Amino acid sequence: MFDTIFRSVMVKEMIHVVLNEHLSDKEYSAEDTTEWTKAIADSIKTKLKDLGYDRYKFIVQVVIGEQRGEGVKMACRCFWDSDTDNYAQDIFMNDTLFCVAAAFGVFYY
Amino acid sequence: MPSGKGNRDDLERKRHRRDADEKHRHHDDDEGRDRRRRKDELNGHDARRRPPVDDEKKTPQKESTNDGRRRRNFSPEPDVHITEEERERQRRERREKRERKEGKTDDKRRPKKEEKPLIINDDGGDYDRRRRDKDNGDNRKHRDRREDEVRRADDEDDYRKRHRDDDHRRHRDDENDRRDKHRREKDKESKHKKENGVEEKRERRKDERRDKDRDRQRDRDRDEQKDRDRDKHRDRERDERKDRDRDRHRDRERDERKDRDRDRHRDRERDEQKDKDQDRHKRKDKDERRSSIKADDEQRSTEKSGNRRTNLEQKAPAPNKPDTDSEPDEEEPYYEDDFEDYEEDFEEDEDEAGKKEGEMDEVLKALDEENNRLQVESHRSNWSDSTELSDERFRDTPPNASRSHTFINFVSAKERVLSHTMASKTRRRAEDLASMIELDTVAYDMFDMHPVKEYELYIRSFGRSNTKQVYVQTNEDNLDHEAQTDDVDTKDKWTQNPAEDLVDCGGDGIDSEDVRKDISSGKHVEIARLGMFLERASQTIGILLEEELESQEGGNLLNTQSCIAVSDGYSQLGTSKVLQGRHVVCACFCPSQPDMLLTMHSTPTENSASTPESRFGVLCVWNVGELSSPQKILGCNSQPTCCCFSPSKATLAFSGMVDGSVAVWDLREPVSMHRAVKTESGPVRFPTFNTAGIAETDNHHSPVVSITPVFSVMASSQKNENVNDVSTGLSFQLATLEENGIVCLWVIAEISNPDAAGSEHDLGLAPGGRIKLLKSSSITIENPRKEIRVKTSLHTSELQLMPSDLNHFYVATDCGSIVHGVRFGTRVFPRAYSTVTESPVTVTSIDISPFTTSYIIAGCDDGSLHIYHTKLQNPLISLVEFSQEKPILCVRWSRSRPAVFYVLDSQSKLYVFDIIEHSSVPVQTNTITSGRVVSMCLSNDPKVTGLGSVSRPPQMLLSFDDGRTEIHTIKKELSEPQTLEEEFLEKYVDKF
Repeated sequence: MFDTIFRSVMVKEMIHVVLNEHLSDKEYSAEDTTEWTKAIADSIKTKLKDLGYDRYKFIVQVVIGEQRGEGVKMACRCFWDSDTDNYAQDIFMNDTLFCVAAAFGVFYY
Repeated sequence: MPSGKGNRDDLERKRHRRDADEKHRHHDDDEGRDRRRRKDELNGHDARRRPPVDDEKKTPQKESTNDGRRRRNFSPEPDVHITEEERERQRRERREKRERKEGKTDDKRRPKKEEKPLIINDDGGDYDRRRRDKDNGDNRKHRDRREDEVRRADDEDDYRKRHRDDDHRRHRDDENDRRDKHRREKDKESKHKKENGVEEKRERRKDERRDKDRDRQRDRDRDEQKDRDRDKHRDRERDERKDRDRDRHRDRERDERKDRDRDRHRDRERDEQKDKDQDRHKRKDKDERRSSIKADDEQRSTEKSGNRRTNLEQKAPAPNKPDTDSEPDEEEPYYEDDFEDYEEDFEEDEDEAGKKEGEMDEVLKALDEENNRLQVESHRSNWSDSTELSDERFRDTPPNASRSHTFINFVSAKERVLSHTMASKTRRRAEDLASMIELDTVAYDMFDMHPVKEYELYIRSFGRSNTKQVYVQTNEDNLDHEAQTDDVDTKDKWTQNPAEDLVDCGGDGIDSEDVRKDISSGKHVEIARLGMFLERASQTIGILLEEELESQEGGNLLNTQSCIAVSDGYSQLGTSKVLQGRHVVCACFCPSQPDMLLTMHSTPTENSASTPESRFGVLCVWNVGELSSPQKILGCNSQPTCCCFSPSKATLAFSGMVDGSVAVWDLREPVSMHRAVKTESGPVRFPTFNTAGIAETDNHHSPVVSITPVFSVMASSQKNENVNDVSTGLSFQLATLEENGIVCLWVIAEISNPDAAGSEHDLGLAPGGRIKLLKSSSITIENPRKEIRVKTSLHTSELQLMPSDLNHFYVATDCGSIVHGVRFGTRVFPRAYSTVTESPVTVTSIDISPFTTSYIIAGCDDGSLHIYHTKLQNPLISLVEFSQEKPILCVRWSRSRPAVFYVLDSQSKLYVFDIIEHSSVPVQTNTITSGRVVSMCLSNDPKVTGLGSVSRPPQMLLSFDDGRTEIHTIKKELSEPQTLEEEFLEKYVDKF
């Protein structure tokens, strides 16, 4: 049952790859970011499904913001079973934008 | 016909129906969702193209409910439109057929379906809304009619345009017609049944019908109007019925589905049908009555099929009715249609697939029938006919509803039970899981980006363009160092050896003046040491010179010619300041070193207590060769009474004191040890050891009168081996005699490790002293004359040891006898030598011959002189008259000639006796006039003893009470031994 446990490291790697795929050599543009976030979230979700976490339900959150020197702080709080549920997250940053992608895996009994 | 009440009832009924439809639709939702979704997808494009015209004709409510259907109707493609129309028509026909069929099959069940609407009927508060609907309906009806007129005139091309609205209406009308037909047929059937069966029911129904006749009339009018419209188009439509056969399959499928739906939502359908049935019944009655009126309408519908026409004819009378009454009814079919439409739509979708499956239709049809039959049977089994009938018609009120509810609840209860079991299962699982799963709150920091600082921003914007940031720190080596420690104390010192300019050290903190002083004192020390060296050296040199001088021309040494016959000349002791006012009380030469002289001085005569030297007794060590000043000055805190040298070498000086103590001076001690009192001739040496510090019992308790070492020069000279043994020089005993007749013997001990700090145990020992006296024994002299033994203690004056046998000692006493004692042993003979005089006299001086002959001379204070042989108690010779009874001070044997002795009396007369020449008279009598002689002392003759310088002649010391001390050289005739003198003396005793 616990053969495939949501492994943060692997998922993070995957997210990293996805973020780099989507965002490398991109500059911030307010119009496109909505689509980007959707696309990134979807691709993360599909790749998560490919990873074989059959018993998991996923929540993928992608935030893209512009880099203009302001400070940003993002935090999340989860009420869950830490034994099974986990969370992976990666950050992509370049000169104009930052992107925080987080994937939460919640075990479904 | 239309009246307020009738209208209202009618409206209410309509509303019920509508509600039922809505409900149906809602229930249908669950299963129809998929279908609807597909429908939406299909109609998605149409939705936008819906023209606004629609809005004029339909109320918003209708729009919302009928959207899908209407959209379809407004498809832009005429062909499609036509085909759709055709399909609809076919569907309608099929529905009619099926309804007919159902009407027959489901006849029994229909009446029950009235229940539901009646329940909802209760609320009945939405009158306004209904009115509004009615008004809308009225307007619409006006418009429709107008359009209908035009449409009739128009040809088929126009028809398509107009058809939009008509289609709906027709659609609905057709349905109504169909339903009415069914109902009528069913009613007939049911009536037959009921007539055959239950009379009461029919009666009740008739009553009801009567009540609601007016309402029904209105409905019928509406139907008639619709029929009219429909009939217009029917001719045209008929052509298009080619596909009907195929459509029939679809109908069947639809039926099937409908049946299924019906099974599920039986209640609702039943309600609907009940409503319809009611209407139908009413309508039927009315139709029958008004058949004549419909005549004109029938003419128009002649072309239509028999079935249809009859239906139409039945519904015909509508046009005669007033518009206002019939209008509201138009709404009704819409709702029904809506419900039907879903299935139609569904069919449509499946049509494409199912068109060619003709043979399947047969099977499905059979299945439908089977299903229906089963349903009916099940219904029958569930409800008795009586209850059915009573329920459906006559109990429109809550009781009816409650019944229907029980039915619903029963089914739903099943479901509920099922769902409950499922729910409980899942709940149990959830509970189990919940017990295993522990939920916790975890907080993550997903992203934390700090705001860009101004400098970074600056660098970001300007830092990239050909600039470079370079950092330089200036004054890097400008550092302050601080440390705090205590100051180091430094002092400069220097020293120089040998000292230059009398200063050999200096530096900070050393006062140059002090240095000078130290230097000077140091110089002093040096000088003293030099002086000591010179002293010794000069002594040696002086002796050597003396000897040389003597060998060249003897007698030159003598300073002055002596007036006395005994001497060849004399020299005088120098008188230093220390000795001022002190005359020599007693003196002695060192037995082995005749040139060493020890003089004991009296207390100063004049009261010169101012000088520190005057407070203590003084002894002086002299070198005979150098008499100008004493070699050493010995001081003591008491008055010395007697003194002597150590026998073998003049290294120690002993002195007995008035207070009974015995003091020892170690002459080898350096001058540095004695610095307390200084004189011009050197420091005053204080005793190295003083018995005054020892226990009182060991000490003398009266003045010490005589002191002599237990040592014999004669004996040592006879035993030559011991003569030069200097190492044994200190191993001798000391005998002291106190005035009260106690002889003490002391052992001289040398301390190997002197303690400069002084000794804690030997209180008499001076710091750094190396010599001390240990008392070995004490002997009490007893009065030898027992007859005269008086209580008064014996006074003794002199102690002499027998040179040849040191065990024997002789003590001069005041009882007229000389006591003979031994150190070891008990008995001696004679115990005493008596003076043979009548009265006891005090023997003042005795002397034992230093030679082998054992003669003792004793001088008494009555002027008598006795000569004893040691073995004889009585004197050999007693001489009385020569001195004129003057006390004799001192008697001494000559150290050179055994037969010669000297006698000194208190009148300063020196008598010289020679036994060989004259035994009874002195050979010479020298009267010394220069002063009163207090003491006389003889030195050993080196020729006899073999010690000391052989060239030195024997000397005699005479001391005067005025302080002068003369050392006379004894004349040669007195110092040259005569031949056979000794033998003579030996025989001399035999003469007596």
